[in-house]
Amino acid sequence: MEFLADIKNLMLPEATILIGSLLLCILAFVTPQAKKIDFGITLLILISALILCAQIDTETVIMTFGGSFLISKFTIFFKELVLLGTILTVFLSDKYLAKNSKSACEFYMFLLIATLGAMILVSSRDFITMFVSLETLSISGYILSGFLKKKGSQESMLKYLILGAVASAVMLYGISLLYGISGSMRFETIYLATKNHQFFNVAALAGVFVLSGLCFKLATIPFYNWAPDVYQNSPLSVSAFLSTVSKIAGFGIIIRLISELFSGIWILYLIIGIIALISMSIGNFLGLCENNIKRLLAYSSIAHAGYILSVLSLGSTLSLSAAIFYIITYLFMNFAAWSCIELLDKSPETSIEDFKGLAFKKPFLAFAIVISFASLAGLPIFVGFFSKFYLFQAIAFAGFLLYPFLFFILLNSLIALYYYLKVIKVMFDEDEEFEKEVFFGKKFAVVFLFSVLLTLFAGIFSAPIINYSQQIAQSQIPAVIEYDSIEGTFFDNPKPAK
Amino acid sequence: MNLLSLMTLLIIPLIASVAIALFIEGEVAIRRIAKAISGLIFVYSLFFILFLDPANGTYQVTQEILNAGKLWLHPLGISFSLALDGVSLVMVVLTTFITFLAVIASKNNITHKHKFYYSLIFLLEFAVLGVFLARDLFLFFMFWELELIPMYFLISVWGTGRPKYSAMKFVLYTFFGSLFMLAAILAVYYVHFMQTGSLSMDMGLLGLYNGYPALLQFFAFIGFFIGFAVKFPIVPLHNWLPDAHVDAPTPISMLLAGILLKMGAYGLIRINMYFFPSVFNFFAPLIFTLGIINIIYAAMIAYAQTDLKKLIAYSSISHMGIILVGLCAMNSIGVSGAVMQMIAHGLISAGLFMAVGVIYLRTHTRDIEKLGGLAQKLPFLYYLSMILALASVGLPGLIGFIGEALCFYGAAVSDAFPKIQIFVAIALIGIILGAIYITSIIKRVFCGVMLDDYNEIEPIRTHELVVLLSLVILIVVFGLFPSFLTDIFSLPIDSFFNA
Repeated sequence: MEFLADIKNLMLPEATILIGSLLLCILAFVTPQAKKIDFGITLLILISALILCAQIDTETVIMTFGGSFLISKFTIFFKELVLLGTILTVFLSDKYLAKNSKSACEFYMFLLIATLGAMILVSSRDFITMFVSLETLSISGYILSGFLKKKGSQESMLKYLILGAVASAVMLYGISLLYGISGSMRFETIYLATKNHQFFNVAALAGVFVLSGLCFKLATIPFYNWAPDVYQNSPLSVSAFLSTVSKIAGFGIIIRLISELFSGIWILYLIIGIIALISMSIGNFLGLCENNIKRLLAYSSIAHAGYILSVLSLGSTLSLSAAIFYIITYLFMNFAAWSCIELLDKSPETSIEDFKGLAFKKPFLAFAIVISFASLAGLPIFVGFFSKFYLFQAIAFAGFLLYPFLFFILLNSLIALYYYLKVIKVMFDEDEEFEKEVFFGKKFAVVFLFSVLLTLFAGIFSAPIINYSQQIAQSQIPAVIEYDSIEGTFFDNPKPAK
Repeated sequence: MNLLSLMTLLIIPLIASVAIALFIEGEVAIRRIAKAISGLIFVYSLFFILFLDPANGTYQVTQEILNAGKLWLHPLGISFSLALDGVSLVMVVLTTFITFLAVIASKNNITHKHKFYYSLIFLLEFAVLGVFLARDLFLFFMFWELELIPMYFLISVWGTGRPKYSAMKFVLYTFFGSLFMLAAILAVYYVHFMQTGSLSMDMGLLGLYNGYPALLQFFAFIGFFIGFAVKFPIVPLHNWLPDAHVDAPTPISMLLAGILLKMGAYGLIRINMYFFPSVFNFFAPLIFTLGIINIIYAAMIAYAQTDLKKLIAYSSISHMGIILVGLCAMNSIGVSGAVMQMIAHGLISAGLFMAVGVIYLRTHTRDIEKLGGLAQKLPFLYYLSMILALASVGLPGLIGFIGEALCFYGAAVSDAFPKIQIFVAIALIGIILGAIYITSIIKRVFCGVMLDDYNEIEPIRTHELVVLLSLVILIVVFGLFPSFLTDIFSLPIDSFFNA
């Protein structure tokens, strides 16, 4: 019965989502064509899960399920972000489902199961839980991405599936190595086994494998090239889901792994840094000559994952809070961009050229696109400018040795500016016959306005968000401090001379 | 509430921009309201001259906004604080004045999408005023970047020729420069934090702090310098300017030459010189050399141009070089001269671009070969352009002379580095080159035989006359009584060099 009590107290959000997805499964048989009911129920489940999340007391770190499930400020925060992203996805899906599908039950069900996987993933404290939840997220992701049942969609789904399987296999190999040196799947046991530089090389190798598997979720190297195809061919809301929610969950677990498990293995931080640099360069360079808007956003999301990883590779509290701030802002910047595109969607071939003349026919929509793309590019006064600045600040405060690294990232943001501007440029081309219908539903307006307005104003009033992300980072710090105290690493927290 | 508030000055253009975009319909109404508001902002900015205490050299008017509520980026030591001293005051007034004239000059040049256009003009004014008013380094950088957005649209939507290409080039060049600036800002911020323990971006604080390690000063100086050199523009980084000028519409060229280039010069004074005077001194021979290259190289290219606007653009680069000469003097005469030259260049180049715009509107060509004898049809334009051209050459009695003379005199008596006088002598050659191309251009455009095509062109219109005349009047007045201006800005400069 202790289990049940734990579920009641600590895992209620997950339980809600699980029950909700089963309920939708049943509803698919009872009322197969009641999309409004499905929408309402899904939303209700997600919002109640969000409220339940917010009510969990996070002052102390609690473990449950025999220590394999962790409740802390950090994990709860990431769950809230995941739920928020899913709620936005649900609003974004409505238009697509109204047009293309008879029933919405299955779609929402898989969305909820994916969310469940993401939520458990950030909370997991051993590799079994982590792997199972990761696969829950991935498999629902495969199904969602192939939901369109069109030729290109099937192809990209298969690509996604095969690469995902490879990534999982790589990760499992890493996990098996870790099991070999520690005899346990628990994070803390493995940490203790590798703590004093015992098995340093094996642990580092295993860490590389595990991180590579997780990089599949983030769409960074070595597993990035599924992203453009899948984003292009999936339903648009699924692309938005995969590029934000799924990535946020991936970042959550990566942050926990590098701060709790691999904190002593400094070489991993170096490898993450290298992964970050290559990913952002690949994303930005491939984005330069891309004309399909969805593929462009895929490359941009690869680059953004690179930016976040680059700051994570520093391992200081400041850098962690910068990463968290960036993740929060990335959530609404990205949704703003995707929802702008949704308005003009001609999937899967929405070319940049389709935006031609938009600015003079639909000025407000064009303004929204300018906001979201300028924000992704990091131009002021949008939120992306502030999050990028904070990110650069974190890198700069890690010491002058990292200035070449900083310059590399700065130059990358210059390259990225070109392709974001390319989209904006096309909108202001003259085109007499811009006649695309813009369908602006009520449900859609919610996600559109929410994300665009936040992108516009959250930067100016970002002190509360920064304070909050600093708190979250500090709650995760005990693990990080462990890392900082290891001698011989050149990553240091800034310590002012008093 | 204080009636003279910097925040009000800063926020009126933003409100105007939003209001025009959302609420006002009709071309004439928009233009009238834009004129009224920009005029109002100009008059309002004039009041700050009365308000400023001439006997006080430091930042005088300082305001911190949004800090009480801790909403702005307070956790990072960044505050929304604005400040004003003599140097920034003259730049602010120049900005509001040139914007006012540009709005008037837009009447015939802008034929479509008025709403969006005037909205962007005010957004640009907001950004540029922000750069000149910012006391916080982050705020400075933010406004510096913000200016890219309206400028991109202003060139690309209303431009001629290859506007998209030029606008993109402008943005990418400036962004490239600001990357270095951002790295330098972060370095200064970081070192200040490490050494004092206080997280701050306040320019007053960072500028007065003198514990920066030498190596940091060296690199931060280079970072800031590249950022400002792109905007300035200093020669290897000047390539965006001719394109941007040629393709931009006339009022935007006026703004670009009149105020946007001054942001670079202002940054050099405010940050490179005030923060790192010793490094500035160390680099002075190099910067002086760059200034000479600017003056002579751009003048020689200008002489070879057949496009009237490109010629003015290169002459503008050439005259910006004189500012570098003044700055390298590292004494209060030279730096005052540099500020004077900034104002002179702002007024003269805005006027010259306006004159070119007037000609282009009537003849639909900027090719010098196809022009000639226009003085017969446009006598007023001829007189006014003559004064502008002579001011640009540096005729005594006009403002251009004051700027150039102070810069060169300051450099000649300076002891910033040995043998500076030789440099001054070389730089003076550029002045002669300037005289050659400017007089030849006046001759080829206005004198000689007029083509038959131009028999029907209409005479100069009132609003064009107003713009040119007000610029010319200021050029003459300040040329005769430069102390009106120097009284405002010389004190902060003096107190910096005497401290």
